Amino acid sequence: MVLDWLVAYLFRWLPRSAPTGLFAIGNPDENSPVIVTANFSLTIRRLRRALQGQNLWLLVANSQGINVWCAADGGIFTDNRVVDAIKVSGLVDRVKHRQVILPALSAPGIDLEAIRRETGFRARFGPVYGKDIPAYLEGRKKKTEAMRRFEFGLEHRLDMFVSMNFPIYLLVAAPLALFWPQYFVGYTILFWSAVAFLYLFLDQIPGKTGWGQAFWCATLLVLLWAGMDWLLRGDPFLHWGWLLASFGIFFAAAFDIAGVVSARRADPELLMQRLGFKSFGSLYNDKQLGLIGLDRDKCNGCRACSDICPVGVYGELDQDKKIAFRNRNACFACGACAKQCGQGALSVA
Amino acid sequence: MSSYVYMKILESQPERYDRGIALMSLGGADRCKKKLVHENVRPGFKVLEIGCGTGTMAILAALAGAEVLGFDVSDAMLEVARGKIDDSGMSGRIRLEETGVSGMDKLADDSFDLVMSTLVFSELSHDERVYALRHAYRVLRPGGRLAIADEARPETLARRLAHSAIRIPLLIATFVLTQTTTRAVDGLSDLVLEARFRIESEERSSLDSFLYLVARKEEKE
Repeated sequence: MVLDWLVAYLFRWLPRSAPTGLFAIGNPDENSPVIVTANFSLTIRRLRRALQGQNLWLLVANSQGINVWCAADGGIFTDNRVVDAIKVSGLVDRVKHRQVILPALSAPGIDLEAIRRETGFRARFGPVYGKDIPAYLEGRKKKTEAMRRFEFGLEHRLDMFVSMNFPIYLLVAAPLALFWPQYFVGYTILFWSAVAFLYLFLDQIPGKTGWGQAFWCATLLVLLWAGMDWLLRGDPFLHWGWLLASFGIFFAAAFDIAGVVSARRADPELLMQRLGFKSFGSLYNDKQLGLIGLDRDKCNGCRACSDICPVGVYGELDQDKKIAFRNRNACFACGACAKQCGQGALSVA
Repeated sequence: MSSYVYMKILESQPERYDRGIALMSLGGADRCKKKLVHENVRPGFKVLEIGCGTGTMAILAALAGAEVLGFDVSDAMLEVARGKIDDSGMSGRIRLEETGVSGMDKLADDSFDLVMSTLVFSELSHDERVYALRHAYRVLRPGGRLAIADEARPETLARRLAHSAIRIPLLIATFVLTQTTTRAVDGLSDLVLEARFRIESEERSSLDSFLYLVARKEEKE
């Protein structure tokens, strides 16, 4: 049980499936709400903990063991999967109402109308976090501003800290432990201190990109280290191997740190953009890097966009009853609003 | 989790699916699809493919003279399939639909001669497998066949170990390169029997890791 959790946590980069289908939380009846989620094992574990004491139905759809946000954005957790979950589980015979609540972060992949058409169920997006579901249900399914937001704060970073970096750590630590055990402890200390420093002080470290920030940290460390060696031992390059390793470690840990912990554009993509790539296979397309664009003529002021934006790009309607940007630069092009806009007024370009 | 790079990698995965599967099965998946079509498709057959993916087997069946209806849950996979089908000149014989297994409830009773599927049941969850088999039985004409090829767990421990030794490195390499993965399907033949089919043959590949199963809907009950 603990081992299972540890594997799921440390290797969260890899898909890990939980059973799908309809599960009772507490003692639900035919009027109880239905919460839908994806079958990533870590998600299910946390959601069940957050829903303790509730009486509701948990409908787990098949996302191939990938988490809600990545699977929705990657075209795996889609309305088709929700339709399958609803129909295969026989939800129609278990509840009298025809409503389901989806995770807010599934918005990039879900067409609500398609779910209604195929199943008769009206789906809506609930809060981003499972922990907010009890309050959301209590408040008659009204979302507060906080329930809409993804928190790229300290808690999120600490959550990502071990699990995002463990596979990177292992890549070098495993061969070291086998063939060069004398370096194992040093590497372990250097790696985790470097990562901890980056994750804790990311907002305070100067630099626009994660790579830039990591570069300054590594340079600072190397200068201090070489300086100490020079002063005390007379040779600044005494530990030249470790100095090189410092650069390697900071770079590896920061490879996608901007995207993972602070909702900025991914550095590898920015680099390709700067190098003038228009596209790189299907992995990268410079058209997907732009800001969110609004065609004001098409906007009908329905606010579907501001309802699901996880970073608060949208504000109130303006005097013409069109949506207005509050913080357009916060957009990191997840595509949720463009997918949810029924008028086709939004695009990432 | 919110890795932007990871999202992008998943998003573009269907275009690398064919290569991923070829790599992981060491070419075995393609051989198996050819064998399945060769042994079960006859000219004029109406064929349903569960999870047609990038369309490889649908094209083979159409070339063998069948009318194929293929469905898949992923529109990106179908996009790749459409390109391949156009190139093969078989677009008149193949109809594609974007739906998961639950869309099978719209198909008419007794309307297909063959229901086929490769590397799909291993991706379905247990309840989806049961659902798909129930409807496969319903839509087949009496005497029609169900042919499934998929990954399976070897039956003896020794073979399981030998299989793991080959599979695990291959699995990691394939996932890293193409973000494609499959899971072994356990106890499929039991589910096929529960869905009232009669199993005609069940073959396993050399290391027991690939299951090829053919079952029939009885002429009359």
